[in-house]
Amino acid sequence: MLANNNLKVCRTLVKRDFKFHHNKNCILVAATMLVTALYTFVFLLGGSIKGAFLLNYQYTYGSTSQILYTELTNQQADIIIENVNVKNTVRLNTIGQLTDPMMGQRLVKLAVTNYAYAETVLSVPTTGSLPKNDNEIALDGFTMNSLGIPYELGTPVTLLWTDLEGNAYASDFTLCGWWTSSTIFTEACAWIAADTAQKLFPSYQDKSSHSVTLGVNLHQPKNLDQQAATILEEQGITGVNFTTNLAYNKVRQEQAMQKAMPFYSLSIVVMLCGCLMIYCIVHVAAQQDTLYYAALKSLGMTPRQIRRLLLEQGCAISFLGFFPGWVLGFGLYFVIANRMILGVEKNPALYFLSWLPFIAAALCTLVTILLSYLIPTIRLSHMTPVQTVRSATIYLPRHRYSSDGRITLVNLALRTTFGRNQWRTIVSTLSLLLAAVLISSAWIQYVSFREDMYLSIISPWDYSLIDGSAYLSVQRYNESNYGITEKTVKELQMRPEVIAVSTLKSREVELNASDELRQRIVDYYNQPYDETMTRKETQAGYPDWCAGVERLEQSGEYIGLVIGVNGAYLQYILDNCPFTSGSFDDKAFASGNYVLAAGAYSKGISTPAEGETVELNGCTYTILGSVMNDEGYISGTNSTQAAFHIVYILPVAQFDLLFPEQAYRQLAIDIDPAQQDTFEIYLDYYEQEQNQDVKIMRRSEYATNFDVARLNMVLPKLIVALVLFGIALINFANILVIKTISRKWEFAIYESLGMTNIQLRCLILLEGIFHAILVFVLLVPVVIFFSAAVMPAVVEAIGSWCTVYRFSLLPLWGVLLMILLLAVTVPFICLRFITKGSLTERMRYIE
Amino acid sequence: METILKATGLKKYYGKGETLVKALDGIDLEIERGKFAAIIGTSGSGKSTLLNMLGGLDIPSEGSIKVGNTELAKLNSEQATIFRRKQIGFIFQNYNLVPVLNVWENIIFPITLDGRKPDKTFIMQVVRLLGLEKKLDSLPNNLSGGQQQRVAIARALASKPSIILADEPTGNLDTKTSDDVIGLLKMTSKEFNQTIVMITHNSEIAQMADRIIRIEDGRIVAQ
Amino acid sequence: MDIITVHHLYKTFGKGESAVHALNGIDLAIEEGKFTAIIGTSGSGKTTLLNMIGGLDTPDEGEVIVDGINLSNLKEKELAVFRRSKVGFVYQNFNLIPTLTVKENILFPLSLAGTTPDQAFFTKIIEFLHLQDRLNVYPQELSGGGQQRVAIARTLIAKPAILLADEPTGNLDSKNGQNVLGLLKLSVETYHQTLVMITHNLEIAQMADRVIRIEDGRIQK
Repeated sequence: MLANNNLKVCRTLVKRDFKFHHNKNCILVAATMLVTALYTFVFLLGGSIKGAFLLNYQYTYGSTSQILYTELTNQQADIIIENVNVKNTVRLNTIGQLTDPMMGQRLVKLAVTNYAYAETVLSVPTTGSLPKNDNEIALDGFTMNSLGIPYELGTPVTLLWTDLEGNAYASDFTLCGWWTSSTIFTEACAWIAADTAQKLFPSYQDKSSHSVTLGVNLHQPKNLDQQAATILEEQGITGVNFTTNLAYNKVRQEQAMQKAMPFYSLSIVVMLCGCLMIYCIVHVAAQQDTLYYAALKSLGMTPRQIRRLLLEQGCAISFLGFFPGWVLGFGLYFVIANRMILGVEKNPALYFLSWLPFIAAALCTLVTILLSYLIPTIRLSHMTPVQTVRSATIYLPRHRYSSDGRITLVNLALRTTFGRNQWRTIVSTLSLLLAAVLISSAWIQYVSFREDMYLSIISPWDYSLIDGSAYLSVQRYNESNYGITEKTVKELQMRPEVIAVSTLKSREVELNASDELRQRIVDYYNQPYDETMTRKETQAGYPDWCAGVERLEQSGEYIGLVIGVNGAYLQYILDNCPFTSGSFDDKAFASGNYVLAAGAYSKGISTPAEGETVELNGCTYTILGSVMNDEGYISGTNSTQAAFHIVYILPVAQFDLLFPEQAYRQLAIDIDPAQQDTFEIYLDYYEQEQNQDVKIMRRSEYATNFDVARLNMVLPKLIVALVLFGIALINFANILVIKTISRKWEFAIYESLGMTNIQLRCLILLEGIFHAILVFVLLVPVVIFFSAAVMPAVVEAIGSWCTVYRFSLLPLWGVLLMILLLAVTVPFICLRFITKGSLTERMRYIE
Repeated sequence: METILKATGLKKYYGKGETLVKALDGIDLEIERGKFAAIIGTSGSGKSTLLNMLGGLDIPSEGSIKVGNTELAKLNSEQATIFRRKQIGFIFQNYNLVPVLNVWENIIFPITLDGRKPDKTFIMQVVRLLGLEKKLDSLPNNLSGGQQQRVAIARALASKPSIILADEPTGNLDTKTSDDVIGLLKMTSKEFNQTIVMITHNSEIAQMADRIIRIEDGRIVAQ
Repeated sequence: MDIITVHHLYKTFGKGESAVHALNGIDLAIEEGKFTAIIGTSGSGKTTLLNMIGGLDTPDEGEVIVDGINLSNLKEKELAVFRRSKVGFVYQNFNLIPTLTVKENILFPLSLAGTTPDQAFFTKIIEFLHLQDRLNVYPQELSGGGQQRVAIARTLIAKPAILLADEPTGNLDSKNGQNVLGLLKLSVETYHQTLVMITHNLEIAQMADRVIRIEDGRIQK
């Protein structure tokens, strides 16, 4: 008998609600849109940051493929492709490699043009195109620099190369394109057309020719090494080499996730604030509609039907908000991603784009909205109709006001602002408060970054000249490069603007550790780093480094990085690298008998200690002291084998005696600031005249970079805070509108009793000001407390070495101004609408 | 005769301490099926509270209500609602029309909620009697107070409930219409053996009832 | 002497098909010091007429002259002053301000005008209406009859020449209704005021000096 329950009627009511209550629903959809936009924004951004972090490692690996099988036959490649675990592959046919002695250690394959493969190894020409015609060739900038090929399309090129069978040739090509990759890969390709390959080395297509490199992506990119081996096993192939992409290393993935966490965690803030704010709007709407719901209930709408009604309403609003939210979120992301993610050739916003964040954003929005609807739903469905009506009727003022009975406008305004139920105001203020706190925290974080501290560490000198192969931190320094010449150094020293030129050279050498040293280092890295892991375990994301330590542990062999420094570089080391044993002695250091040993930047000796000796290139040196190495002064990275190394520092003059042929890695130049302009002109000229193998870094660029980076650090948080503030303001304005409009009847009564228009306006103005004051009273102490007491700890926790907490209330004043503005203007705008029509109509309105 | 409504020891208190209001202070009442009872009393005497209790719109602080054989307190809120919309037709003082539904949709709303098919011929008869046939497509806000009241009456009758509870159903109607409405109520109650409990100020209307219940200060003072 | 004169009053609400002709050419003169009852079915235009006289609404056509003042010549501000000085309203639903105490409600029109209340007169009124013990409570704490007495006190305090009452007993039971009616009549006699009252109740209408019946926006003879 009691089973009948028509749920379809809810849909009708929801549809009608949308038809009749444009304002309420528009506000809700707008708020939902902003919430969706925020979720989309943080999810997309987090995904991109993660992707960019991993991509950096892919750059180091040299390919975006997960597994590279090398020296396969065509037949083997065909078999591997068929394995079920393989998602997709790219394929490269090599006919040989360049063997020009000028190439140094780099291996450049002469390969048949394959666009898909070229993309995965970031070797698509940026100028010109891939070869199409016979005899055309496309090369990378590093190879061209090494071989001295001019950057001009159509240049004839003669290359020495060896085919797969070991026969040497010298062939003529025409340059049809080149690319300047930001990274120097030890392996690169020189692209030629298939026809050319066919002509030069016809047997590359033979079934048995080991000419194929296969880049493989898997469906499940986990445990790559194991999977790579399994695939070979399953397909019955033996004797094939493969390498796997470090970016898919488990620890790397975790690190990438950590990088993205600050952005993903913003979604929790969005969830909290979004929920609260939408709840406010829904609650106010529900409060306003209480009589409506009470009527529905008394007509026989069951709690289940009421729940269904509200939930359907929530869903409808979510769905309406999704699309504009996605678009807006993507727009925000598009602008920010391009600022924040550097070093990706293509537009990073599009490069890392995926549909997952959109779906996640939609789901989160739905959860947020439904949560916001849940509370009024539960509240409503647990009350009897009469209780519902009673909850909607005006509360009795709690305080008795003593007066002579005559009431002034100020009094009346005070009474209406403070005397009524303040729940709505408090809830709306809470969301404003959250937004204000977020904005303040982003702002204080921003102003706490100190440029002077940053520059004193990052760019202690005015200019740096850096070898082209060590310009970026991901670049591997090429020891055989001759970018910076003696001539350049001389010329710089002669410039009238220059005060000092300091130089730095480096060289990797194979060394053997004594048993004692070996034990010391192994012990050092086995010490606990924190409660959960040892120092060595913290480096698990860097297998090359781990391999280096392993090697030292087993054989005593390790790579020593010998660095020659003078002037500002030496000063930097003395200023920033604390001694762990021994001390600095100017004369002894200059004498050529002593070196400084430098190890991990952490307490304890991880290197040979004071008084011990080391043999470098046949000469024996005594250790003057050991330091914790702050490598901030060295640009670029070292070879893979040298991922783990011990640094030996000696004066450049001594370094030159040891390695006379070694070129400069970098120069530090200090100038007379008064003459900066002429020096800049000289540098511009130098940059144009010299080959691209030398990069100049200006301190002013660092300053600009710093400003950009500082803004980027807080930008996502700031954007989230500002959008949430936007929602809070919508909510605040909504409450003001509802508050004013719901008093249509009250104002009509005032007027019927003889209140003039001016008096009414005065009343509204006063109420607006009082309302704003009420919000201020709740807002100001909390924000000040937060800024003064909580933020120092926050800055300490998430800040870096260049942050010093700074107190600032600037955003608070901005927030207060907006609130005051809204509190005063919104009721005035509403007043125009509710005083339309005659008093009669307005007084009848309530009935 | 069969008792359809039975209230025992009904009490309803609001507030606490000094501000305690005893809206109902021990009401015992039995109403038989098919009877027309009028409740009279000064404003604030507890008439509306009693009517709301009888219809299950509010929960008593003490005491019990039995409709037919069903003890209202034993139903959960879902069951209570469904029971109410099947058994009881309300005519509210403030009409409680759903503003987003037109007149016809309003009239059949409780039936729609129940997922039943409305008896169109019967409802159109009621509609014509109340002079609403031209207003079926209008929204409640476009109607005068009297017209809204007539829609509310039509809605209460539409589901042919066994009990009709009416809170001043003729308050906004002129004498002629209000006589018609009372006539209609009496007629349908005869035809479907319905019980009517009505609050009224109008002593003439009260005279038409089978029985008059006078309430003062939350107690029944005369029957 | 006629204190209220109404000429050719027309008022239409809405447009096109849904247009309602609330007033359809009303001519009326009301003598000073008389009690006039307006009766008619709901929607006949009674309330609209009363509101026009009180300056709460403006006619589409025609003019209203109250105590020598032509209302159509008044600006919004002057109308407000007119309302608080010349006429007093008593409504069916009392229209008291819930955030103000009884005393504040009564004195509200004077507060708006910025005039000092005549203490003796105030005391007289509240005693007359039996409100002396209820001055510091809020209107919601009073019964309907009590609230209507407050509304009447608020009307009387400004010593208006004209009292306009829209079913003042509509929400009251008959005992309270009689009481309020008696007070109104007493006030009219005591202060020599003119009373115009809308009512459904024929008994009450019988007590008036003159009964005007309105149907479809016209006065029925």
